[in-house]
Amino acid sequence: MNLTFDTFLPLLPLGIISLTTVAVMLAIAFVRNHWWNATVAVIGLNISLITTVYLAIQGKTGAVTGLLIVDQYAYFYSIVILVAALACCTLTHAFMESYQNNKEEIYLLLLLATAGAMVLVYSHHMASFFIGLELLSVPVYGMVAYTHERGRSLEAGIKYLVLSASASAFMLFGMALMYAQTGTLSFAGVGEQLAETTGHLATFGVAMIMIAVFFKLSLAPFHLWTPDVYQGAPAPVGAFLATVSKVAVFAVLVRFLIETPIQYTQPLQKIFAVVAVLSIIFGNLLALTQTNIKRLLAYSSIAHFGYLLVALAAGGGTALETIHVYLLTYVLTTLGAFGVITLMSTAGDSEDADSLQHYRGLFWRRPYLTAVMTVMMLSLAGIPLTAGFIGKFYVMLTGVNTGSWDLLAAVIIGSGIGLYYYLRVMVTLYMATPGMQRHDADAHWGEQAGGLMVVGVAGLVLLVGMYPQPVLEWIRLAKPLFLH
Amino acid sequence: MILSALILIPFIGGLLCWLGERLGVGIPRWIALISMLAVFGLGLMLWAQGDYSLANQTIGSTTPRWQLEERYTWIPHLGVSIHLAIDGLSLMMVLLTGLLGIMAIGCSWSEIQRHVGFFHLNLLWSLGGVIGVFLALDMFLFFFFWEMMLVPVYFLIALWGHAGSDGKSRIYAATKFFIYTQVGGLLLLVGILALVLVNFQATGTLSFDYAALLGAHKYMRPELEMALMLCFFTAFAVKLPIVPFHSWLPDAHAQAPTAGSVDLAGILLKTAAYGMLRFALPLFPNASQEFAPIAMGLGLFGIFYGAFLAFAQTDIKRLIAYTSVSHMGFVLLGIYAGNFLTLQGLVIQMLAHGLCASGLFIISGQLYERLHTRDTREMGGLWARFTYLPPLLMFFAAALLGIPGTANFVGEFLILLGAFKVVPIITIIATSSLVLGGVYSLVMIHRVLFGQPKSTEKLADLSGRELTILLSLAAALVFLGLYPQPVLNVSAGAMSVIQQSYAPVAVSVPLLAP
Repeated sequence: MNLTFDTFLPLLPLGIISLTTVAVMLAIAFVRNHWWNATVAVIGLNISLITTVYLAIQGKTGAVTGLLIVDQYAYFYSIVILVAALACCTLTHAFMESYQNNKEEIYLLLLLATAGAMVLVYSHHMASFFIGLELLSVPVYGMVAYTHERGRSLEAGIKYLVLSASASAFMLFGMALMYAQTGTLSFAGVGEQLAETTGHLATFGVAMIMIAVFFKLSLAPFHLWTPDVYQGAPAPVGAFLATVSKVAVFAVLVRFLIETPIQYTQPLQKIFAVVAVLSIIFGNLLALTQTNIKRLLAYSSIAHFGYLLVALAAGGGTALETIHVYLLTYVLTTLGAFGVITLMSTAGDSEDADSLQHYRGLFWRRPYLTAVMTVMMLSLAGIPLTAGFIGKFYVMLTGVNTGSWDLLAAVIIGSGIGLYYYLRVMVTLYMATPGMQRHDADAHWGEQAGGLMVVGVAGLVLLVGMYPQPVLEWIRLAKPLFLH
Repeated sequence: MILSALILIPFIGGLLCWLGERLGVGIPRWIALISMLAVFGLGLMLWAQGDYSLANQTIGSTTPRWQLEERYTWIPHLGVSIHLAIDGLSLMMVLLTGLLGIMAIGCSWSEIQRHVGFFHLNLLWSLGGVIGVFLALDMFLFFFFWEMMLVPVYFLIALWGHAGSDGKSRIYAATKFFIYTQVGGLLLLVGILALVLVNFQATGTLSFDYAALLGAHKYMRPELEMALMLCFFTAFAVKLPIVPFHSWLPDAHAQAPTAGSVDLAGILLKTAAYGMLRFALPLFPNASQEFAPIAMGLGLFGIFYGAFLAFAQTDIKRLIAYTSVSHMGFVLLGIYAGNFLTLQGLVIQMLAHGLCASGLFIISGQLYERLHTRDTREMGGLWARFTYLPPLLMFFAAALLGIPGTANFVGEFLILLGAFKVVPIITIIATSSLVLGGVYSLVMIHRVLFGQPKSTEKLADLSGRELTILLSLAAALVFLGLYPQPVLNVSAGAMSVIQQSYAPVAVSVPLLAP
């Protein structure tokens, strides 16, 4: 293979992120200034985003070495990840302002994790899959435990570290088993080799990899870490965990499934169906009694990935498009919801404003912030006018298209239960009571980058909900490249 | 343009109400009133301009003819467009929405004192959503409005409602309402998607358009058609409501503020009947035919069940709510009898029920403002304590039981007359329920107005505003009761198409002025 500049050009966004990481590190070494260091990170992410969009428009696609592949599919998810990372960055800045300890290193971790997420999205080889996953997870341990003066944050960090490491071990062992049978580690190669060899090692291998993936996506019954980690993590890190890390893992899962021939992934569909139904039921039922909004969002994310998995389990011609649409709408919505929580809290306090009590009667104090949160709750519940509806619509479309009536029943029941707690959060925002707790967002939240971001996300959620055509056209372009 | 304006005026007006609140508490009320007057005025203008007579319709045709149509591209990717159209049936429903919207704003003029701007935002948005439902001809758009109007109604009940008499909170009622209708809505969505995909597989065009889907039932196996019809039916049955799915209604009605009850009883329930007429019957004619006996049985059961439970209530708003259940049983009977007479009667019945139930809810709201109770046991002897309110309550109660001279009589009479030709036995049983109607109406009047008064002190009588609202509702009821012909003329064309696509029979055109 001739390695030229053109071969590596598609990897430019990833290179820029890596360079930015170094730049931020140096910037911190030169002068510790929160605003300045954060700005370097934001500029780097923006350049990377612009480059990605440019390359996507130019159509620069192709495999870069045997490990990575850059195609429109990867560009689509890179853009989603970069936008989410940017949003998390602005939120982190608003959040960390009052933090007493060193506040700059979190951008370093965030950039590293973003680079890991991009590697995952590009990977079509087990090795890059694993490298990406670890590059994504390890900085996140640090981010979760970043506000280590808070007991919960440290606890969440350790919990995530231990459990995530065991999941990684499962994954490595699974890959080893697969290699033992097929003698190859590339996604496409595994599929080809499976046709020629017989044995059960690879089956076990795939099962173990799936366990690790389900863990990362916090799907039932591997969801137990989710509420604790979401609750303990600082709010902007929660946003990162819920968006960037999950999107990247899901993207690589889908790529793995489409590169492996259908006859080998068919048995997985049954597993997906079971896991989807379990996630929908557990996620929604456990969210019912939560009074902590971060835990509630954690359970709701379990349920949402259940809905998403319905698309995978059902399959059919619209599955891929459904996954794109759903992930996009989910990312926007989650960013908005966590964004509001972030703006309500600061790192200086002993814990985040995550009890529902804090939000009682918010509307009469902060109407715009409440409007954003209302839109997000409606979007999570999948009510028309919001992006969440378009996502749910597509899931239903896929279900009906393949005649998966039992899965549809689970989605309908799950949504019915889900309404209860989303509405509870929503109505709490509007309930004025005498002598209510006056925990306010920063008075100037609207003028800060974080405030603008949150309002912008709410605008996007409404726009996608009301006029989805441009987004759908864009998504239709996000096709994976096959190299057979 | 006019059709989009009908939908946009409430939405924009609602936003202005919210923003206008900072200029003064009274501003949102006036903005809201002007918006709904504009909607009602536009509706009247459409009535005056259009020719809705049956002659305009190709007689015996199953393809609807629209008086006015608008189409804009929206999501071509999914075959979805903004397709609005109006015919006689939609026009009547829009006019009802406009009129009751004005009444709802009027009756909350003094009742709502907290967060006036946000209240009117919700009220107007729910009305806008309802008008959208009545005008939408694209299934996606229809569903969009169908679901969207729930949110403002939820807020109306949850934020401005009253605690229930049995200790249930208003949020409980609002959440129950939302979950019931939303789950029904998701079934509807499954039905719509399956219908669209069947059509897509057969014809190769992906379209959510009503006209394109009208023929889709030809490509279905009977079992599938039945299943999809049931999806549609369940969604509409929850909202109508039909007896096994009705339990949200008494709670929601009792706990809602007056304007919310007017909105729910007067307008929202009609969207379900409209949905059955416009979509369930024409889209799945064979399955509907097959299902008709069960549907009519459910309707019959609902008539009696609602009447008996109404009789047992002590909360006046719950009592009226259960009478709605009973009247909606008649509506269901009328829909599935599918005779031209019953369908025409339905239009009158829906208008009459909207006006009459709204009038009663407004009166109970006024009683609540003065007595701070909805419990009929606490009332008694009110005849002596008011001058204007008792006779008006008497009038609306009489209208509720269907006394000749009111619109309710015309509606029930036409439905029963038409249904007798189709299902004589069910009709005979249903007719006997009119006695029960008399019982609960009279019991209500008796408990509230007569008997031993709790105190001899005079209560504040109706203000000019309250009197105007009630008198105009009463006048509308009497007018429709004495001279329903103009309405029948307008709806005849639309109803004949629905009737033809559901149960084709030799065309006879009664009830049409020469």
